[in-house]
Amino acid sequence: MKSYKTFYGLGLLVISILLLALTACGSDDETEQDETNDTKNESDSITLDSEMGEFTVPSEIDRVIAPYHEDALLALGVTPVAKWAIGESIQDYLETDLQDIPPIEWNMPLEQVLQHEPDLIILEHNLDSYEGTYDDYNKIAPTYVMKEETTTSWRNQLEVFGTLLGKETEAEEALANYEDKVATASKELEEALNGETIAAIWATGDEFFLFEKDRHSMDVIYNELGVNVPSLVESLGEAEAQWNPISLEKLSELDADHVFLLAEEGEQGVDTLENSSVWKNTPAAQNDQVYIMEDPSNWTNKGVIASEKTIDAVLDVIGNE
Amino acid sequence: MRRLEGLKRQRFIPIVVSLILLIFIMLFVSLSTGVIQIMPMDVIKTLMNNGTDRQELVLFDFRLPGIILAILIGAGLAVSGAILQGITKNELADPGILGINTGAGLSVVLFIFFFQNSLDTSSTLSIFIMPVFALFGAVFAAILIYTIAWKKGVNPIRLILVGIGVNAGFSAFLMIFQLKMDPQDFRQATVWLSGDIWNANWTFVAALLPWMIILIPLALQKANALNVLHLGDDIASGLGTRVEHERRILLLIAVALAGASVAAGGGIAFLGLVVPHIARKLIGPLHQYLIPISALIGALLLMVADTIGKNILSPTEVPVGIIVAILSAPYFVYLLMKTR
Repeated sequence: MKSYKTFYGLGLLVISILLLALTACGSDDETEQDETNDTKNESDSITLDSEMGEFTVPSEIDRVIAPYHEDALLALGVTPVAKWAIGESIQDYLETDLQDIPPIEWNMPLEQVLQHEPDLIILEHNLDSYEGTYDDYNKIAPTYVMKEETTTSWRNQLEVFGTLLGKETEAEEALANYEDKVATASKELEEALNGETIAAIWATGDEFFLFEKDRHSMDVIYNELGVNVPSLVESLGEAEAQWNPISLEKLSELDADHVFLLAEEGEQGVDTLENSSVWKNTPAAQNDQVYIMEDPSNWTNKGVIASEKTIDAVLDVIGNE
Repeated sequence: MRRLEGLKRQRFIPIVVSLILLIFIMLFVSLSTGVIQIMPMDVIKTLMNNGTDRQELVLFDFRLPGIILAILIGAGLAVSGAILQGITKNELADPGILGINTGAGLSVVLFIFFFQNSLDTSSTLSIFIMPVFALFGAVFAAILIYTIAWKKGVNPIRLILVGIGVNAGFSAFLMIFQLKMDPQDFRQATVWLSGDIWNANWTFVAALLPWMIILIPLALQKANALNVLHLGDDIASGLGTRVEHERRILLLIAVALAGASVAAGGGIAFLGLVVPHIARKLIGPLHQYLIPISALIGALLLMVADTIGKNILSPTEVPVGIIVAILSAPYFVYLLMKTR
């Protein structure tokens, strides 16, 4: 019995030392943070509203990380120091600009972030997706947390990023150029389509996802380019946060005149469709107006570059008919 | 018998000391490995308060909280497993198999699912609420198992079988809710459920520490009751132990330990199963020795697994629960082959 009392004593000692160390660490951090905040307030004055309250824009920004929002950065002519990735999968449509940029895991592991020595970190409003807390990232670099509307609307995002990075004119230009592109494209499409409808299906892992009318790229095609919506797509209603697969039988009711089939090379779903008699009877398949897009990434994303790529792809296939 | 007792007691102190030593060595190894290179010499320098700001940030804010959490969770799950194996008299009992982990997990997932929007889940308040929620889930699971297994008292084998059933039911519920989540949350929940020391920061350490400080010594105090229970219900009541009463208190301690651990570390499987076995091999079945040794081995094992998980596929992190499973699955199979 004696030995286990000694153990008790030992344990208590270790615990009290731990507690002491804990409190010491805590107080250290606070003083450090206060100091850095003070110096920042002196040097510049541009502030911006963020999810975490008022954000003071740092004066010099060279190295930015904005995972999954590289589209907006590149549109402003800013190259990030790391790009969003989940394991091997990345945003393929941005690879022409991001080829040499190292990937960073989607959940932003703290040490990986620190390794890239950013001057500015831009995060989405839902901080649960990230490994660290807001305070953790703020210790690495000033961290701007987007509001919900900034995360979801790429137009708003472009403006906010413009202010953050001192690229307001670039942001305006990018938006203006985009509106021009939409105007000319919708005219061209109106003539070419003559009221015909378009739908997009994403085939992945032998499952099919029919784009709802306000899902990413189709929002551009239906609402901005003014293309008519097929009734099956209309019946799906508005897009939810998650992707809902659609059965092959349901897909046979697709009454679109043109179908964009997004499928990476060697995707099983393409064979499934081609061997399906119900699919062969849909108007698009009968008129040979199913177009396979081998890089789905810009279709499944939001952003000015993604939208422009989608418009180009549609014009490329339909505009020249 | 008494001589053997004495022998074990003689071995106790050296084993405890060497385990603590190993934990310190592992602490050091774990501190010096990671995505950002910090040489062992620099680790010492930083610990002596002579490091650069960057080194201090990595060591004290990023790495150390994770390691301390691993120690606390490892110890908690191991002690929980040791108690459960004691009261069920079954060497295959473990908070994971009994459905207690899943109960806690389900409760946390429900918490994330329903309160995600109304409450910032990474805020300090919710960090402290999370273990409480997990505890509710764990206690709920335990009460469910205990009542279903009740038939004029609780037969240890019924307890296990019912536990396995409840575990399957909770897993199914978990699946339903996971499928209702959006992809980002789904992925997060999956990683978390396979066991992951996430959000490793000092707030989480502070939220978990009181549970361990109170519950592990409490378990130690009940060691004698466990020893008697282990002899079987008849002998135990013959010796004047209030069998059901003691069993309920011990079950509650085990459940609370598992629940708090799950809140911080997700569903780390196998740890609570394997560690008491190793401890029993080292020191024998007396719980006043078994519990502290289990706590230390559990802490050590989880630290090792955490360090491996963080570095083996760097920069991708492997959830620590998967590493624990890989390390201990062969031992589990060996155990099954031996016990038939």
